[in-house]
Amino acid sequence: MPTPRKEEVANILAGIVGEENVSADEATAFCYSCDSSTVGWFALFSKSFNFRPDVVVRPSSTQEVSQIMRYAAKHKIPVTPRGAGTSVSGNPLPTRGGILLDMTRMNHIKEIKQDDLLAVVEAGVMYYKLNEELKKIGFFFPPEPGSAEICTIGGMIANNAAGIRACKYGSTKDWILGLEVVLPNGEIIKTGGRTLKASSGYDLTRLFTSSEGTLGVITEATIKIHPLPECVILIVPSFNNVEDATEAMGVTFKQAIIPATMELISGDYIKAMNQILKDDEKLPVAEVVLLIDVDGNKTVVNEEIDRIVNICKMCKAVEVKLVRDLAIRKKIWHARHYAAFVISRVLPPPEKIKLWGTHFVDVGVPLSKVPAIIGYLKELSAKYGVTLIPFGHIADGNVHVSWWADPRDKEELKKARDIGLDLLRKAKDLGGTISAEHGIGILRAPYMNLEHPTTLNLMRQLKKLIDPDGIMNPGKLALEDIPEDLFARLLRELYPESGEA
Amino acid sequence: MLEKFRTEANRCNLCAACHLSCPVYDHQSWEYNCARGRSLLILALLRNQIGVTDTVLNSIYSCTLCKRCEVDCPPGVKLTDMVEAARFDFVRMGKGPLDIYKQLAENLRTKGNILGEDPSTQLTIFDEVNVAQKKSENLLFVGCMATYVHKNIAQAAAKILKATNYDFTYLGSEEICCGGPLYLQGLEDDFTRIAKANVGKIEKLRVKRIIAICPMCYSTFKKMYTGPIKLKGIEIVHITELLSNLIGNKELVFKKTFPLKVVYQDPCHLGRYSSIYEAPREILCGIPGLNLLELSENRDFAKCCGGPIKQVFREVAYDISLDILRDAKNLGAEAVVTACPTCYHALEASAWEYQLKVFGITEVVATAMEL
Repeated sequence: MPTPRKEEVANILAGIVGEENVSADEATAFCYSCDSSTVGWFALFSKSFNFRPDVVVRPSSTQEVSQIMRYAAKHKIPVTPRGAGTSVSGNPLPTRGGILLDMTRMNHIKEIKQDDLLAVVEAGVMYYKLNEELKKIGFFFPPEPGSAEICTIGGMIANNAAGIRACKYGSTKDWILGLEVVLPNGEIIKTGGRTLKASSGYDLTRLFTSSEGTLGVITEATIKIHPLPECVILIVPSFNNVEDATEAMGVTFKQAIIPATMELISGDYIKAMNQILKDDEKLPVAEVVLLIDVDGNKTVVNEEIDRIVNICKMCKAVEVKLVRDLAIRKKIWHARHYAAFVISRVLPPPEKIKLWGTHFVDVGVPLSKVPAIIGYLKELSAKYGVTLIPFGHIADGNVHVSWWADPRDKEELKKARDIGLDLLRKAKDLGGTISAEHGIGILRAPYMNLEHPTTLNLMRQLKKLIDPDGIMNPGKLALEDIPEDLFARLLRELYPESGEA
Repeated sequence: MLEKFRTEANRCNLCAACHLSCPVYDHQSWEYNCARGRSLLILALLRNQIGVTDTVLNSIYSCTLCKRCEVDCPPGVKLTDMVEAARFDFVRMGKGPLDIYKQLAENLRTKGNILGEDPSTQLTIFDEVNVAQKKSENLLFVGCMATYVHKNIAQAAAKILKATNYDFTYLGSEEICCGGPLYLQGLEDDFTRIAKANVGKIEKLRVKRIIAICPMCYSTFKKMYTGPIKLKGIEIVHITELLSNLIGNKELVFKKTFPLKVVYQDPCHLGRYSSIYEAPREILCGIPGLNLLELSENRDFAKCCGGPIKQVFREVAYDISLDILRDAKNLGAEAVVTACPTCYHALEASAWEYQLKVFGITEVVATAMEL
């Protein structure tokens, strides 16, 4: 059966969702060819990178998604689901054109059932708006990714997002009781249920969580909710070096204290955050600061704060600030969430940072290995003659690293490729993961085999079983083949004479 | 003109923080309806990767130019300047403005106001204070919306000034639009022509100060009348600044209570464009019995009323105005007060949905002065 032209596809889809919710316009496609990752920017430097969908469609119900999937399956048209497009790994970028499903119209909170400690939400509900509603009854949905103010619940689930509170509250997968999913053939299934526990066959909920839209379209989720803590106070200790900060983390855990967050911020990230903070909110000017939220019962919080402050002082903290004002605390966390995007205010050349390495590195290591991975950054900095800046959620072993690569400079591109690969290998050697929370997407697909040498084949078999024609979000998770490293590909295309790829 | 913004468009880091701040995206969540999408399209246009398609026109003209996204934008991208530049370029390319705005320009050419109303009707708005074109240091500039649609706002302003013995004149049937709406639609030539005409008329009066009722007139005179069309030696004042000063100097005295719980809605051109946040609040707080509440999003963070796109994107504009009214209702307010005739127009049309009253700030002041 010949593949229909995009205009025909758009016409059929308009019959399902209405003309106003379909676009085959090239400009619409361009807007959906980028997410928050560096991946889309590759297209600006090389014509062979093209992540444009043919048609964008915006369904408003599970039934509409099902009809769209049935049509796509019949004609073997690739389908890429997308929430707010805040992925930093290229997860919702179409690699083979086709249909892009913008899920943001499915934005209804269908039920909040306090008695059962759960809520039922459509995939396009914004995380922030869900928590605004839950706040009214004294509850919240704890995982809080950097994109918390804008991301959708569906995107969080498909990506198993985590963020700042994972050390105490876990990641998204720990809060999902059940899912409604439209399979690639259009069939609607329900996984899990409304109970807080179930020991009843394969855990298909977890299979779809973190599947990055490669197995089906998540349309609805039943999620666990949690009472808001009575009290939360932010501790901001500053240190002269990253070793002292990680030591403070280790001692805190040894003393059996699990704070809600423990973020490490260093170097230019402190400057970047201070760019958008007012004077009374600014972080101390130091080499390293930690952002430690302590939450829970008031008495326990105060007791734990005293102990953490003492630990920090013992670990040579230069200064320890307490932020009790909730409004200031909120602004500091807002600045933290956007730190990676504010950074261009302190690093001027905008063209240069388009191929930054920030999002390339999302390694996770066992907690005891955090000092080792951070120590390794110093080795790499010396080896490559660059400054690698660590930041991130060290209390759950998740370390992000930044550096900047100018695509117009061959040597910088080579370094970008090599530093990224060295870090992934080191994380793996330390017993860690190549992605703790950002997902594999397009960016890390070339390295799936590095982490999953014994299971990638089984993942591919599962994919084949559920999506035999490979129409669901192709080009992600290395489920078809192992793609070439994007930096290497760009290097080969921009500098074919170098033979470096 | 867009070429100048190549670096600016590159500064967008694609974070999508604008999803939360863009009033349009909140109701029409197409990716091209937020600052990220608009920046991407501008970049793609500059790189000749796309043409000026329907989506591009939709994206660029659905922007309310409210500047709200710029408040939250982590890298601080100046989106409004880029969208304005795109509109200028589209006009030069023959792709813009949208048809409805062509009519607006035609109205200005033929009638001198954006609404196409008969200018002789202007003479009737200030019957009680017949001071048209008399000699004075102070020119009350009324603006199109308050002249032809919401005369109550202009009449209240004139009564207040008369009651406080504040000497002023106005242009009467000679007043023409400030040109702001033309500038914002990219109609540079029309804007320049109107601006020159205004400068000629105003300078001929030898006034020292213009008191603008409309925030857009205020910011247009202040920021767009530059270079050869600068109003030389003339101070530009918004009516709220003047009233606040008169209250401070005890020249304006309230005689009766205004016992209502109200919210004040910050107009974009007065707030984010001109940083005038406190003067209107000082006025309202001085009125006996009035209980001023703050909208959840106020001052820098205030939401646009949707008015600027009402003519083309009617439903979205209406939904945006409802956001403000819903918030006001939830706060327990009985009325919304604004200092902008365009905001008044947008909010008044939908206020019935929440059984709220809408007042121009001059109306509230005049009532409390028993005028």
